[in-house]
Amino acid sequence: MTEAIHLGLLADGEQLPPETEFAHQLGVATMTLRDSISTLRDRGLVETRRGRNGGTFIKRSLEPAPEPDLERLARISVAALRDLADEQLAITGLSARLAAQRAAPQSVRRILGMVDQISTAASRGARIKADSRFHIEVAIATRSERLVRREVALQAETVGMLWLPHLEGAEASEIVTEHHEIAEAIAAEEAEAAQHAAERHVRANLRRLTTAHLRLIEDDTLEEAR
Amino acid sequence: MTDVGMTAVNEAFGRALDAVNAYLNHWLEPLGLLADEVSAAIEPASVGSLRDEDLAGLAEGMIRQLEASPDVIGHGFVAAPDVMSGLEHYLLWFQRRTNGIRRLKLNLSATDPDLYDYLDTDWFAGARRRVGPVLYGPYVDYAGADFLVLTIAVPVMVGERFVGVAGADLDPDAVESALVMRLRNLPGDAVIVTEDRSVVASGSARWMPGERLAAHPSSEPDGWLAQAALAPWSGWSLALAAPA
Repeated sequence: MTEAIHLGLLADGEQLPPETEFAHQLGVATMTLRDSISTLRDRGLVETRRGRNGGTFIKRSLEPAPEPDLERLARISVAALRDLADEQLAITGLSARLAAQRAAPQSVRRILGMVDQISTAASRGARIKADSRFHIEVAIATRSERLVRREVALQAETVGMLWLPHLEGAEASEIVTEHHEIAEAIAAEEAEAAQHAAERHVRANLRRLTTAHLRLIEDDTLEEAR
Repeated sequence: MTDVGMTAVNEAFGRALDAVNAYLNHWLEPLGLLADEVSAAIEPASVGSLRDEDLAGLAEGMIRQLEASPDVIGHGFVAAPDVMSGLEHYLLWFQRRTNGIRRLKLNLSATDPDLYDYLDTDWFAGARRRVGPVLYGPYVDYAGADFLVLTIAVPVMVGERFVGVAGADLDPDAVESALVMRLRNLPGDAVIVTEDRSVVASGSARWMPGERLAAHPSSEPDGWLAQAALAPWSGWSLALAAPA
């Protein structure tokens, strides 16, 4: 559900079904559901209102606050970042390759459209959205449900930590260029080139995330020393 | 191959072509009925100011039809803009899920950048442009059905006016097995491809569904024993190669 909210599959303000019914729909125990909803509430993704028109509602901010992502990036280890990138090399790299071999014209249009959206996005929220949608559209173009599911999970874990306020303008335009290269190779039906471009992009993101993480813990150490 | 051999190939190919076409065309009947029902439920004067309640009477029939069609994952009515009162996007769509048949709820709020915008999809825009049925996929309908589907859409007309489509998402595994069964008796390796060169089904391990042929059989017919277009509305073709 976290993914569904982030990716906008659930609209802001949408009401969740009553607890027992929802638990039944999802095939989980009511207690388990209550725990999950409480986690979502802590992350600010749902809100519960009391009273006659009460209930639990989706709260999807188009501009998510950077603090939770900053905190996650400060706490994560470089080894864990590398591990995430390892999985992305496999999933994102292969998706780009297969997309170049299989994408329908409709998919290619969407992928190219997402590159434009990343470059014209005017806010952090819009960049997060366009960046993750780009990669999900590439996975969709492969026609593999499994690759789509893995890519969605990877995007939910990483994209917020990438687009943090400290990201330099030069890095941001490099990211746009990298997406552009992947998209062009897919449109040209060049499988090798698409895979290599996607792998270079994953490695560059790993460098960006690691640099940002190290800077964050350095700042923390300085603060503690004071 | 001898002339006699080629005649036998052509005959078998013709029979397979007919069998696949009959299978494809049989989907148009329930969708045509659905389109007629939706059309009959809409007063011409009310187009533009229709509300969800005005179409509520269609739900029961849609659910019943879905219960009777195991190969259909979901179906319903998808409205054109300026048909519903105050809504650019509107769906009355039912879907089979593990826990039963449910009305599909999508993010359709006009101001949301993540709106499920179907207006420019090949199935919706295609049915509108052609004023005829469209077959699209298989594709991962991530924001909609949430899995791999094949979509058939037929236009719903109220008088001369296009008001939306009656559509169905088919289970691609069921379609694949129905198609493969009809390719079994061909003397060679048979493959069904879309206009975009995408393999839909094959009676051989030479081609995988979802993969793309280097060239469409119609543009390079030389490598094939036989090739022909299937029902025109499907955009699909059948091609037969000598056994590898």
